[in-house]
Amino acid sequence: MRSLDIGATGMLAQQMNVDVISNNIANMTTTGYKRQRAAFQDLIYQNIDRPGSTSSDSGTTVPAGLQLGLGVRTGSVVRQHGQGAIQITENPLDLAITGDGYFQIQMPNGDTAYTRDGTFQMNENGELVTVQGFIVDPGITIPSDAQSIDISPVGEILVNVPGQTTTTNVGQLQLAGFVNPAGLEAIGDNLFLETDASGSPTTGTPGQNEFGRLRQSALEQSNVNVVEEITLLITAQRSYEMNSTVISTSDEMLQTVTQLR
Amino acid sequence: MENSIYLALSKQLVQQTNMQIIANNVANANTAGFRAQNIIFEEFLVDPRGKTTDDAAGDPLSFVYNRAQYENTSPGSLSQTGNPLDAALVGPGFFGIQGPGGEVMYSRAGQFNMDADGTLRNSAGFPVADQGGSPIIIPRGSSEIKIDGKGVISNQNGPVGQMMVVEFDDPQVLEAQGNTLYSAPEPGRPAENTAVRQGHIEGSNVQPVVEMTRMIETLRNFQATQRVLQGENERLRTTIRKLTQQQ
Repeated sequence: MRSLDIGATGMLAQQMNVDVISNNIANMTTTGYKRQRAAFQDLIYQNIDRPGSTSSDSGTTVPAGLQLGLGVRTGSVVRQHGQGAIQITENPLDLAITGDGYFQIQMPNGDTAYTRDGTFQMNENGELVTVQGFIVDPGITIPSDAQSIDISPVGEILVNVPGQTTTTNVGQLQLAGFVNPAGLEAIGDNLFLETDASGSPTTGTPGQNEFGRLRQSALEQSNVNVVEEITLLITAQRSYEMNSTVISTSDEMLQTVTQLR
Repeated sequence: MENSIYLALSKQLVQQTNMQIIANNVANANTAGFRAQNIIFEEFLVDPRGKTTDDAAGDPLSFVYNRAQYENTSPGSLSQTGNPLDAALVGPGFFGIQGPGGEVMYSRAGQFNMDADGTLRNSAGFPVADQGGSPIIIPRGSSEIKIDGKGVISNQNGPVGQMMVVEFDDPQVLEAQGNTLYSAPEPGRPAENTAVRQGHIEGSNVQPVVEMTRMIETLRNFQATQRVLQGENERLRTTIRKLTQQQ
């Protein structure tokens, strides 16, 4: 009974589907989170009668052969890099990217990680850091006596220092872009690493070329659409049930066979 | 040997194959671009033993066997994803995909992605073919990627390639190869009645209600045939017992 195994591949695939959907729902309020999607593919086919094989001595061929499929597998789980909604906050160091690009983060081990999450803060040295305390690359130090901080859409950071009438430029934020952002490797904490699939990054000023602009005192919310996720969840659950019905039906057929005598 | 047992057996074998096809349809109910399969049964006539050509009595015995399977070519449901690299086909056509050996294969699944070089690939990693059968490369720094109804992909600077979209006179000649790819004996001709829709995905055309009904039908057919076998077995046993008692 191959249908038993086929039903099992269907259940496994749907289980993976529910895993992906539940992670999306769990991260619906995570800043800068990008939703994922599982893509399924049919498994190989077993040729019982090849299409085009001859069916008589006079050379007639069968129009469609007999090919039996062997189930389903998860082809890939792809991250969808659509823009999330922008939420206004009161914190002057919160940054949202409207458009393409990633902030570059200096990891403690020297690697560069990439993120869309612009929830930045200052550390004890006045350096711009992430929630985890990792330094934003290129490093920006904000003077301790700065009164107000302005971050322009193109990434210039301007501060007001007492005793000066003009603002001082203390740094320029840079964004990184990838040919294939779906190929980035997620390492948790809203951070991504470059892989062979993503390609090497190009860096640039916000607002130039393909890079999006920055928005101060705003955060990018996740791009999870709850209604869509719940709909997908219902579909996945019902598919799971149907596959289990296939298994129990196959089981019943086998049981019938064992009663033969 | 007794023909009735083999008649019943032939039916049970095809019901098992039928069950496998239904199981595969159900397992792939959420596979984009998958097309449900149906089975064709055929009668296989055999003259009963001892029948001569001028014998008027006795119809031929009719065995059943699975002749072939065919694909349901009705369109699957379209769902909107908003992903600019998703494309669905409206109409009978197929996308051209470069298979593992570089040959052109065909698929209805339009969940495309880019790799590090910007090559457009399907969800199994095979490159999407352009009209000449070579991969489509979307240049670095592209934004505002648009796919028009004829499969022309363009970025902010203009067209970068055109997807191969082909049609077949008889879609049943396509041979499923897994990964929602099909191979064809002859290349298809350029599509005339098929439109590409960006930001959508075509789901499978499996209809769960139909599959569940077919499954119940298959199970009951299988069980009914089992009764025939059991009845025949009883009949033979009774015959043997009665004959041996008379000696």
